[in-house]
Amino acid sequence: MRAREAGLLAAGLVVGAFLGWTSSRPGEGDPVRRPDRTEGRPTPSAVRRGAPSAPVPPSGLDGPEGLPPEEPGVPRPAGSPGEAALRGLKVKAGLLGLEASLLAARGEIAALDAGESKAPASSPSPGKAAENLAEAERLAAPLLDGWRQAAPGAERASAMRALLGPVRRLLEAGGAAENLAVLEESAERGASAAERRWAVIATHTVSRSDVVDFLLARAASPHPEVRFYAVEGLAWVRGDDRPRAVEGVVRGLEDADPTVREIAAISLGTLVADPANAEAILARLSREDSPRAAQGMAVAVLRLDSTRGRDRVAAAAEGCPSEVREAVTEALSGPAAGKR
Amino acid sequence: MKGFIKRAAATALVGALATGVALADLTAMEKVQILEVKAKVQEVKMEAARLKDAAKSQEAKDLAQQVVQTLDDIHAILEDILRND
Repeated sequence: MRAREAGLLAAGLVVGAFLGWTSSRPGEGDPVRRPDRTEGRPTPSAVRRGAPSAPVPPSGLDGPEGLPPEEPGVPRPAGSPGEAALRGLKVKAGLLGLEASLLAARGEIAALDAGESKAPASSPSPGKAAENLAEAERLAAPLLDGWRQAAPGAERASAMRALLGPVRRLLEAGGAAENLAVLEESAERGASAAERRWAVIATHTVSRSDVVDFLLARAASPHPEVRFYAVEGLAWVRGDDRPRAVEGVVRGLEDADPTVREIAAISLGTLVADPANAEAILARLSREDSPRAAQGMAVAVLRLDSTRGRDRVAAAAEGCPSEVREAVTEALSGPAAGKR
Repeated sequence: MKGFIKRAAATALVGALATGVALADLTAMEKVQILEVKAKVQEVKMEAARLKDAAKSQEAKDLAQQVVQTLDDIHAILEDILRND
């Protein structure tokens, strides 16, 4: 009975995830591109002057394989404050719901654990590790074949998406480094942004020296979405390789793409969470020309320094362009300002 | 277990709502929240993986594996909505 219930649970979550996935893709369910809150947003002074809204990109949501277009930061029109607030609430509700489920899952796991085993082992025995590796290899093998045989473009992006979980599991289980060559091929030479991003996401949360090497190399990729996920991936690294991984995240603050600078700052403020990095973020903020990146930097510093962060951010942004200062002011008055 | 299933179903619905707006640009604060939830997903996944290794019955192993796979999927979805380009 328990297994059946577990199956239902897994199915429910996957269906929900699938619904979310499909509804986040362009199509009948989402005909209107929603507003950007920073880039392309008319500044308060521009609104007062009666300046026109930024143009809507003609391509809408269409990108390779019906996925979003590759160029980040395309100016889009702003929505009403009410619409933005409602959207924010939906995001928050979804995340809170997911957190509640995680909490329940943790309770269920603990209960099962108590009934099944008292073993406090934090890592599997050598025999178990070999068994895990063999199982991971068995699961990944047909998907790796599928990836090799897939035609470039949509088919190979889909193959890489299917491979993501199994290849991560394989890397976690100590699988061979050749699997990283497959990911490198997709990340650097994949025909679509979707394929390239999945290839990097597949390594997230895997703490191995060769994975850190992989991510550091991808952080210098010519593709912005690859650099974005590589920089974030470095922030997940734990263990002996963490210092050099964090150095890679800090270097991301200097990336040419504002979305990469933003995720670097947010990752430092959230995943790395070392107050020592606040100074590097502030130094970059003082030279920032992107409102999007500046907001990420402001929020990150507020999280790293709850007592003086606000003053430090305001001081760093003093010499920035007006639209950057306005974005920073917005971040300082948002929920992050009052939260540790 | 039933409570968990009910809550999971509710979460699936609310999660669908949330990811339905995923193509909108998230604010920096929303991205922070997503990263925090991802960190929690990762923690629970590690616990489930540990249980899978320690469990004696096949039933518990299967359950743990299902949880790991589901959380892996959720993790990937959260990753994908983080970058809206």
